[in-house]
Amino acid sequence: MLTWKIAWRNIWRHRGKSIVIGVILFLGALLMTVGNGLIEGAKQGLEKNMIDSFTGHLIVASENEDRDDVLFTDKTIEVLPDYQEVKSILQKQDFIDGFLPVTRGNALILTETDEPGYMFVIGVNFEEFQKIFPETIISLEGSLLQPGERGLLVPQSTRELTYDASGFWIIPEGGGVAEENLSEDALEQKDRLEIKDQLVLMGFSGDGLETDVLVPVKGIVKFKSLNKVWAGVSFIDLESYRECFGYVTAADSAVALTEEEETVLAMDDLENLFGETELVEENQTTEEAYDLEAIQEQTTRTTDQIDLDSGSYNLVLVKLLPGTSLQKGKERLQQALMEADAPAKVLDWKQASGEVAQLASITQGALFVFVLFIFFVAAIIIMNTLSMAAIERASELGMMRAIGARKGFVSRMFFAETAVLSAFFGGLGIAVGLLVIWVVAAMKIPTTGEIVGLLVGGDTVNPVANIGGVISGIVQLVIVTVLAMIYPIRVATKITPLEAISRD
Amino acid sequence: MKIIDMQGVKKDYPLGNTTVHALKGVDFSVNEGDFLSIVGPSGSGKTTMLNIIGCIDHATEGSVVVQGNDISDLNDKQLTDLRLHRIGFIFQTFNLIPVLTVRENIEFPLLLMKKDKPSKEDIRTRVERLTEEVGLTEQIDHRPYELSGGQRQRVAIARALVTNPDIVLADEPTANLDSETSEQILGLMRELNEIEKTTFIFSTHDPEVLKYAKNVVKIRDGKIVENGRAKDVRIDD
Repeated sequence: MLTWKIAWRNIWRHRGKSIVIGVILFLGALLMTVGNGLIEGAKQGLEKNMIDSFTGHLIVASENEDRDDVLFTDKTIEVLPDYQEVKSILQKQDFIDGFLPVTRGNALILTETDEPGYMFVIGVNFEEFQKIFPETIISLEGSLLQPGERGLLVPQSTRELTYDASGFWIIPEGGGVAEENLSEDALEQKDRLEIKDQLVLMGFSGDGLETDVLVPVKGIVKFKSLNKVWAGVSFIDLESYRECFGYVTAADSAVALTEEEETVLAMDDLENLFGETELVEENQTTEEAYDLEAIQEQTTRTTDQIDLDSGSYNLVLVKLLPGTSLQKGKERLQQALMEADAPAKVLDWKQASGEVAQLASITQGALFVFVLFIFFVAAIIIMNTLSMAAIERASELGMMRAIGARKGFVSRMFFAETAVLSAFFGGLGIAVGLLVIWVVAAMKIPTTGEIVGLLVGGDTVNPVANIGGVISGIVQLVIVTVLAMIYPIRVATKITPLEAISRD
Repeated sequence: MKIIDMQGVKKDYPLGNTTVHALKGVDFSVNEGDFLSIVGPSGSGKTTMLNIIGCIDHATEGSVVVQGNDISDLNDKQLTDLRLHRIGFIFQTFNLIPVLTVRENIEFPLLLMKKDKPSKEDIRTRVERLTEEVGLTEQIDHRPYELSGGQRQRVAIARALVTNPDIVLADEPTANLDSETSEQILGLMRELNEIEKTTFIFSTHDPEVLKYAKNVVKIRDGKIVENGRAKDVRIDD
């Protein structure tokens, strides 16, 4: 009680110094709280916007694939050797909420000019995509891909980039030019705008073969969040993608060859089929009229129901059930695949996102370093101020020691003074920091640019205040206070009674 | 009975490239209940002697026994406890704790005690008694800045006596006081010496102060030159 009494009164007596230390503690606590809120908001935002919108928690790729950054690299990715087996394994796991097989790659946009454009495409069953990642993609023009429909969904930002690179404006098939969505450059040229509602995409297969595919544009879209980050990502139906990149399509898989056909195709020398005889024989010909329309009526067009999953994929996006730890989920899935001898490996979303996640980690790491910097600056300033205070009170401290106060008493007295200041001003800083977080979150300040979007994990600055953040702020405040006290207490306890008398 | 016994005590202080020999072999003892003055010119070693007796400083050489304890064998904690329980200090510049009241300043040493700590009631009784003895009952709740120099020194005297010490050391206790107040303070110290039987040792270079002492030790250039009853020791200006 005595130390607390002296501490409290000393704080009042040396109001100037107390206010200096208090303001530093207040600002430090405020900035650390807001910083923690931004970091937490960024982490949650990024997870929400990446995991819930695009990547899922885990990505299954071919075990033959050397790379980890499989999602957005411009390099060709290995095809998943046996998706059906992977699928059956995934279906058996009780910690998986859902999964979505996809294909992805870079295609050339062939044009009449000599300069082709590029398009990064994700081939996906769009209906399934919307189940796993609901409301990620918002239609601006045209429509979204319907079940079984072939076509492209082109983001507004990709359309603008394509216009800048190749000089034509992409519109949905059957649609017109929506002037309100024209870029500035396109708007200037609107009277002589070259438009395309179908694109010829050229893909490259693993063995270097090129295939062109004509794909209609079904819709122009934007993303619910991080538009600038996903600027170059377009969506295409699975079968068009497979045709473009030389994968086995589901239609291919649906074709069952007869035994005779398999035998013929397995022959080493097909020339033997024809022998030495003439291929064409003279024959009696007769003339007969055929009614084409009647023949066509007899012929009904049948479309076989094809199972898209019988075609090729190169990745599977996996969402875990809420509450499942990312690391544990990854380990369990990898274990399950290994036990089944499936030719696949498991990556987490950060690994698979490569540079995107790295950039996010770097920018958030920079924010964390900034918070730490404040932390240390605050500790150093407070330490210096308290040390000076100890030296100025040498006479008083020396007298206390002379009449019987131990070093521990002096330490406790300094601790009490700093603790009171820290609790009051630091506590106030945390409280105001929480208020700032609440206000900033409510303001929904839009982010500008890709870097800031990744820094804050979304399209608006959205700091988050939660109990973990508050506890973290208190712990940081306590650490700053303790660190700041160590040296001044050392200075104070080294003051001897003799020194006090000598100063007099 | 000897309460303090110094034998062959030397004290040296390094000062740049030289050494200051503050005490050059002092043999000195004090009996219980004495009211002793150490007198000498500035720089003679009076304060150094008091500091060594008060366990604030260490002798470079020689032995110092205070209340049967050879203080060269004691560590910092033990010396601090010895000061707290056995020795009271009165400083030239009063050295009261500015944020505490008169009552709180006086009771401060009692609150530092860990063993033999009196009860709250005992503390209250002791403080009020001493406050009355030094004539500051009406100012008991005042802060030091509200007191005169003489009043502050009275508080210091009360604080020095509150733990019932065996020895009270006063280093030039009247140096910052006017002559009338000095007389009052010294008279009070003498009175308390009679009542409490506490040994008082005070340093001074003022001959007027010496008339209050029972015994006088005269020191010059770090050596005791005379030691005896006050009436027998010749004091030069």
